[in-house]
Amino acid sequence: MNQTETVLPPPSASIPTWDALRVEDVTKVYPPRWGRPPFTAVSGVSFGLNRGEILGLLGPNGAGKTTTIKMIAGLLRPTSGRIVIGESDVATDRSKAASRLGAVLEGNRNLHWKLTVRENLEYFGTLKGVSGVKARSEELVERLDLGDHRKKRVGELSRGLQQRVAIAIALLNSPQLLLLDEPTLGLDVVSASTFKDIVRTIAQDGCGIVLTTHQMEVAQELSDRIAIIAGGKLAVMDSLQQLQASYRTPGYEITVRGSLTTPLQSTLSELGAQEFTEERALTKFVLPEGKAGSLYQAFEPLRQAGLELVSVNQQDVNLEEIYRRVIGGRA
Amino acid sequence: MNYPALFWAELKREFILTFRYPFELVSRLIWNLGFALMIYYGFGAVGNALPGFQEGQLGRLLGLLITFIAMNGLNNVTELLAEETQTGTLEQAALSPPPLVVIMLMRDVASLIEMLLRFVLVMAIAMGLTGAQFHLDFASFALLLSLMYFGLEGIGMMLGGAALLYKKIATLGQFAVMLVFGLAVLPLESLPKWMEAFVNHFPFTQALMLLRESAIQGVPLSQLIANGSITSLAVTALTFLALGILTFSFAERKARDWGTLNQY
Repeated sequence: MNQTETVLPPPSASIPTWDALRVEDVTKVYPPRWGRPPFTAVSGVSFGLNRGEILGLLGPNGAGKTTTIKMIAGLLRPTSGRIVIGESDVATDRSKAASRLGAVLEGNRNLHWKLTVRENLEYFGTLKGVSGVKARSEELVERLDLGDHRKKRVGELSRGLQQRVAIAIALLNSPQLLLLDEPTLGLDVVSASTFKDIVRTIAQDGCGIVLTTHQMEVAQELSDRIAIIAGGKLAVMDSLQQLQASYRTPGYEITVRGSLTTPLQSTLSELGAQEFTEERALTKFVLPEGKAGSLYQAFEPLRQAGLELVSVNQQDVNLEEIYRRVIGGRA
Repeated sequence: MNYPALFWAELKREFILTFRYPFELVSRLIWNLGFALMIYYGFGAVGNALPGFQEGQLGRLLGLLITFIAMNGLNNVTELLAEETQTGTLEQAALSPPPLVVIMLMRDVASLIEMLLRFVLVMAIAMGLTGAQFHLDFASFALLLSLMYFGLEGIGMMLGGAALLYKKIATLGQFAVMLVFGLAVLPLESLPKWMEAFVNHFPFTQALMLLRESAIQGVPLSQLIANGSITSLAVTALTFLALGILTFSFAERKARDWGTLNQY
């Protein structure tokens, strides 16, 4: 699902073709209240999403991602800008926009815990104006493998199952856009894995998904594109592949068995080696690509010191590293 | 939007939750009945010495039981909002296609129906135990009670709107409840003129007077319609309800601006 080939426009560009969601130059300023000054939570954010695509929206606490998600859901009104779900403007046609939207914003808290799974589905289905709500509920119960639990009260279910019920409710109206706020928080490994499979299937069925999470591996596994929001502004947005290409520090990670003596480390440093680490009798260091000519020169002192060469790998950068650099640069 | 289906879903939910916890249901019925009997016998022992308690035990029983319903009408929206904000389900309701005010109104009507049935059951048992008899014409009773409820619902919606914005409004709610309780037991003629004029345009006061006429003095519904009393109550009730809906809708819009819709 991740690592698309598509080269996407920068966040500020005009993006008229997105068919699931368009967020156009949206700003949210919380008005002054009880002596508190006005607070700009989101400033000039623009992005779009196509059906079938998953966008990972990342950012530190207070960066503005929850505010952005809530504005898309219609729970918050933007101070300026425009949000369109499908063809419906959230501000001027909220009811129609809502009928195209599914959301799991507070995980298992969005459910009536005293009602059974089936009662929850039928109740929320009616609230969302779903026709043939019983049949649709039953379809989702089967699809999300909730058949053995349909008559159980939600409060009796495990967190993983509750999360699946929440997803089922969000899918009742066959939404064009699904918002998932921290969907795997608190789930065990197996439940989280099942949940990720479900999310992939939903996207394959043609639903656009905006996913916010602090779990980088979840975003990396699921997202077609990554948007990082910091200080209320969209800092970067691109496919993971493009981000990795942009943020990679070209070079080689060299691993040898044994410890480096101080003179040997000095010799390697003179050749450009850096980031020395030692763990479990293995020493690692990085030789930047600009110093690639030094790669062969580095082997000689290692050989002379009698250190076994374990591996030489081209260095890669993962999402967490990209995130740290983006946030570090914006903090 | 299929509003009848939405109402049916709210009604079904209300009754599922009522019968899902039988111990709570029985406890509530016993508590309601115990309170009715306490009013009938307890206040009966001292009531004749107090102003406002001089219309007989039947009047007291009716007045104070109706007070219960009125208090429920006033606090229902606020309590629902508080509960649903804490559980997180308010967020689901707020991002559903129907306006939040419509969902809350339907929930309240569903709650009214459950309460009316409980009220009739408690009154029937109380009448059986005490031997007291009302001239209960169910049609007049249900109409008057519903009009009163909708009027108070309007005030409840105003309180609910305040709860959306300011969250903790318990003091305002307690004041409203005390006002209702006071109107149920105090003789209006003992109030200052300006206050009397105010309370005469309060849906609870009008409804209580008509309910007493209907249930105690046996005045038929046709007579209450002919002399314009019902029309006056209906106008008052619908005015309060409309003001409540407008206030709630305004507060909902403000809450979406302030970001307080799903906070508690």
